[in-house]
Amino acid sequence: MDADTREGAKGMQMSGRGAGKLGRVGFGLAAAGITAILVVHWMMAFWVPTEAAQGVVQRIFYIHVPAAWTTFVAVGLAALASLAFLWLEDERWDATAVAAAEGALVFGAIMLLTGPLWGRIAWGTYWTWEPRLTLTLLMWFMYVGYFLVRESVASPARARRFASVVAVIGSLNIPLIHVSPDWFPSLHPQAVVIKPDGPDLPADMLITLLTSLAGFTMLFFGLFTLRYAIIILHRQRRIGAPSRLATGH
Amino acid sequence: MIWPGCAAAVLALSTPAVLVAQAAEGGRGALRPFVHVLLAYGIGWIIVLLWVWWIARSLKRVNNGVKGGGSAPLDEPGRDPGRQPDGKPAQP
Repeated sequence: MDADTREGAKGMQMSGRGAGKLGRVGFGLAAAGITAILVVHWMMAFWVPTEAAQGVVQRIFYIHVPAAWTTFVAVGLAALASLAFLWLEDERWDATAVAAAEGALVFGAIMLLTGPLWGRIAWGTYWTWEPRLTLTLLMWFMYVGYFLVRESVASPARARRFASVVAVIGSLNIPLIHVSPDWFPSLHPQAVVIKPDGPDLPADMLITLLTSLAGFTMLFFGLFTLRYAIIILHRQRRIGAPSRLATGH
Repeated sequence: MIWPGCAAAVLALSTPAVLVAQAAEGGRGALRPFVHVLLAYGIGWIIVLLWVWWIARSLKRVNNGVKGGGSAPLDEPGRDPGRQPDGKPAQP
């Protein structure tokens, strides 16, 4: 067994039963998330009123904001897991970071594509290089870089350490993205939910948004859990401890 | 399992139908915001389904590898089949 494989073996003890349990939790969370998002479709089309100033395009808000929230959760999780991996060198933290970083790319793509569709109607342009949009795009590309680093460095152990550093640096954008509309001139709307004096939204819009936030969060954690279990099983197989996710045997 | 799936499909498909019907009431100029809303939700589903497909593919590869008992090539990040784990070129 070579040095990298020995290093990779640290923290890889997950039984088939444990993997099966993780798989069931993941499927359950993802199914609950998809159900909640389908309910949001109904609320968005039939229940919530059209916003007076922006019109129907404001309904993009119920997918754009939850996608942004989920992206930041995923980036935060990837960064914390990467820090833990750099410190403890436990393979499970690296698997956590990879699964979370995939989620950050997926939900970040949704956020970055739905925002311009709203902006074209509300601002008259798909994109403007204002601070929040620019920093968000930069963060997304840093997470693309996370996977490029993992693929491009020859030694797997070094690739994981380098990529972990990229994940941590990428997450430093989150506080900047959050405060940028306050610090710099910005077209981006101010926060309407997380405010010191409480949410500034009508009740039906707030309920729709919170349902969507719950759905996206459950969907992310469901798919994240499945992906984490699969990555662990993949690596277990490499070091000769086969297991099966679907049945738990 | 079939009925919840059918209900979900009807719900997902009826949303764009309702939005298009609402847009038609507003005349041709009112259609564009509705198209953007439909595109936004459609893009969201497509991207999520791509991740689901990627996860299903990797699960299938793990299960196939377990059935075969061999060591099929892994899509392990950082693993280069042309090199040994220490970065030296693989021996022919």
